[in-house]
Amino acid sequence: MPATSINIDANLCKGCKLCLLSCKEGVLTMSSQKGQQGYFIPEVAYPERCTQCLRCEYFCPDMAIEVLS
Amino acid sequence: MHSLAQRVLRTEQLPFTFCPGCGDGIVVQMTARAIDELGILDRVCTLGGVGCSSWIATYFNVDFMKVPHGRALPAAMGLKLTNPERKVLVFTGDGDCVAIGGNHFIHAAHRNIDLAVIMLNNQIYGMTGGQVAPTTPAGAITVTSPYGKIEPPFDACELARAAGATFISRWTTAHPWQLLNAIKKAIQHPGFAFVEVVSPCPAQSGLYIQGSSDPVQLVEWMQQNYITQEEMDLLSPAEREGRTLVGDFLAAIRPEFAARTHELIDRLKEEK
Repeated sequence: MPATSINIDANLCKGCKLCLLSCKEGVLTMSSQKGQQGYFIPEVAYPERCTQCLRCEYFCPDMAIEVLS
Repeated sequence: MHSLAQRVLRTEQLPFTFCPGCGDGIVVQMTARAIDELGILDRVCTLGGVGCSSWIATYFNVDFMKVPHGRALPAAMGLKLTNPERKVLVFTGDGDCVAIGGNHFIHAAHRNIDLAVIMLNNQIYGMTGGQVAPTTPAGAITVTSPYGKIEPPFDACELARAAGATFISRWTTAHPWQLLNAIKKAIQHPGFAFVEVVSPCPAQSGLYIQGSSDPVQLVEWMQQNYITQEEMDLLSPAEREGRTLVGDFLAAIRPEFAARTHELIDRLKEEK
């Protein structure tokens, strides 16, 4: 699939990993980057696997992830 | 910053002050989606009492009231009666709503006044450090039930039904689409609409009762134990033990209090 653009807001993410849990396609992985609040945040590892189901958005308790395309 | 947040929330207040993995943020998101999809931002006002979930009310770019513990419903009734055009959304917790606020809850439901009451249930008093609540399961060991809670948990949906609420749903933050749908319907429902949202609390009930502070494990716990009637029907009676029903339980139309109050006022004015 063409790569989906997914934005992760490093200032809002608290590293809870619910986006990783909810994604059925393995698009996201945890990164070694810390966000503004000091939590390790995820990164978009395989954007071409994204089916734009929006589970990551709907399960994020901080509205820190948005599927853009 | 999420585009929906920019349209509907007080973005200067972000990030949410909730713990990582707390269900409160899911309710902010789904309410934001409901307000956005219904196009009612200019008509909504929110109220919060005291407790973590009451802060949900403060994140929307609308007028809101933050009131003493358990007293969101009397204030909400005042807002509705003084201007029935307002869409009044109350955000409350299980302690704020059925413990200290229980009596107001009974009577607001009984009047069937047009409010949407969204009660987050984390089965504990979270903000104050994890004390036992009416909704805490029997046997649970908390800060104030060190030998295990004696009495069984309170079902707020049953209380709402008995008191006279005309819209009742229960979902969890692990059912976000169903929750969004219930919130939209509750806002549009012309009467007392009650949505119970079972919500994980990594800091308190997760740690003390479910045995985990891991947001992922708590979502999995909710998905296992809070199931629809269709899922219940597939289980044996033994398997149903300890599981709770979620779903849209009631949507009925009965005379609504604010409308009838204003009809009475208008009639009395005409007769004068």
